[in-house]
Amino acid sequence: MVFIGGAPNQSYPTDPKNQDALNSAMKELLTGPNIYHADSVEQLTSLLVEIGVKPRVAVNCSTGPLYSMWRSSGYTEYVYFFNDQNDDVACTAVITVSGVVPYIYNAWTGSQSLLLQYRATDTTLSVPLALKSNESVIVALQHDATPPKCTFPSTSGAIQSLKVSSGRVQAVITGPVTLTSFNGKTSRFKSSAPEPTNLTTWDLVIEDWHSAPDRFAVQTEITNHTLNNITLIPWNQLDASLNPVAGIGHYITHFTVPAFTANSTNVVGILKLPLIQNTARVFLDGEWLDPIDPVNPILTLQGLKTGKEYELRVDISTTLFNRIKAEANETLIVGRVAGKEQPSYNTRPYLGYGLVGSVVLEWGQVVDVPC
Amino acid sequence: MNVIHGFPTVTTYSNTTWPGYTTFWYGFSEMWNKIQPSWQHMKDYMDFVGRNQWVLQQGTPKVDLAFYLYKSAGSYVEEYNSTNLRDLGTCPS
Repeated sequence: MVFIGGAPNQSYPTDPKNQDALNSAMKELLTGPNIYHADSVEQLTSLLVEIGVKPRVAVNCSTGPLYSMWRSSGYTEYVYFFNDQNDDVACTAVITVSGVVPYIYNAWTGSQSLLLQYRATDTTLSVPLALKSNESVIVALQHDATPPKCTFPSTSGAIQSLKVSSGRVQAVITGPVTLTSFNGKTSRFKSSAPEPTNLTTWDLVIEDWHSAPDRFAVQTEITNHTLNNITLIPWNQLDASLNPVAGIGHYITHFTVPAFTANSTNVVGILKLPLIQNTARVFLDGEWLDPIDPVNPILTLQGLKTGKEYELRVDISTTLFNRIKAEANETLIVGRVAGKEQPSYNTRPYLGYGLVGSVVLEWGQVVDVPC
Repeated sequence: MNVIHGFPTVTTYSNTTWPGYTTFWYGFSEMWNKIQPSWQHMKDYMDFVGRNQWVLQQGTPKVDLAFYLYKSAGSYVEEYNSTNLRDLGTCPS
């Protein structure tokens, strides 16, 4: 226990008998074992170092707010990391724990994957952390689980993922990589993947969500706007008449998987989207893919065939701000006019809705990694 | 605890136009129902929140330091205005 600043010194009731009792109790408390005092919060850190109090989860990524939360259920320890800042981080987290098998739990997809890239000592587990701004990750440490047959304390290069699949350790690589297993075996791979493909030209159908003619019916009607061969800039920069439009944008493009320099039957595409403004879903040949983290919008397209053409569709949603801004004086809530109640509809400009930025397909391949 | 706030009715309401009943007279965003375009993607985000909440409610918390900030029990008082503990959370050398 650490008292910072003054200790409590005022009894209640405020009579001499109770004040004496408080003074006596505080004197005994402040001289007890494991009781410390610091004049200010600024002295706390040096005091903690002096008495050997260390964090269970130590990270050296940045001095910014990278937080961890630990929940202990008996069978599993959960460590939740959240990068609560505008900067991305990449470093190692040293977790004080032993006798556990680490997994990564993906809260977007529900998947639970054995973590293979970590270093263990008798008392600690060192795991790599790479988090975009506002990204979170769950590290689950399972007691009584079967540890992986092979771990890789040291890896470098263009490794997209490293997982166990059908009993084999497989890496998705997009360039040269080096992996060293726990028993010292080093494996090096070169990728035969071609250069990334920039998906720059799209067809766009915008669902324009607006009121039915009878505004008091509170019915949504949708008008479609179709634009072909567009680039990924805001809707109102494609056409200024789209300023008041809000709703859903369906973006469609096609790509053909290019040839690899060497035969590869395990081709993957790493789809990298720009930051998602609101929400988005991605479809490959009409099949919906996994949910996307809007702050790290990357999807792996599996099982692609070289030479085959695929259709890629990205659906994005917007808020209704632009539509309400355009009709703020006709929009009522129990008789009160939105344009008068909310100044932002007059002062804020129309928002630049859409899938905005670059979309890149980085090519990779799956390789089996020996232990 | 996570609250979907506001989640108003999508029915008609007295002297109210599309997009429907809006709490606090458009003072705050957003309204969350099927009139909101992103509603059709909402399962992705609710499942994400649900999974995180499940993890963060498992077992008991393990904390390194607990603070008794007695002044802030009844009013908004900042009692620890330093980032020194965050800065200290570095890997042991």
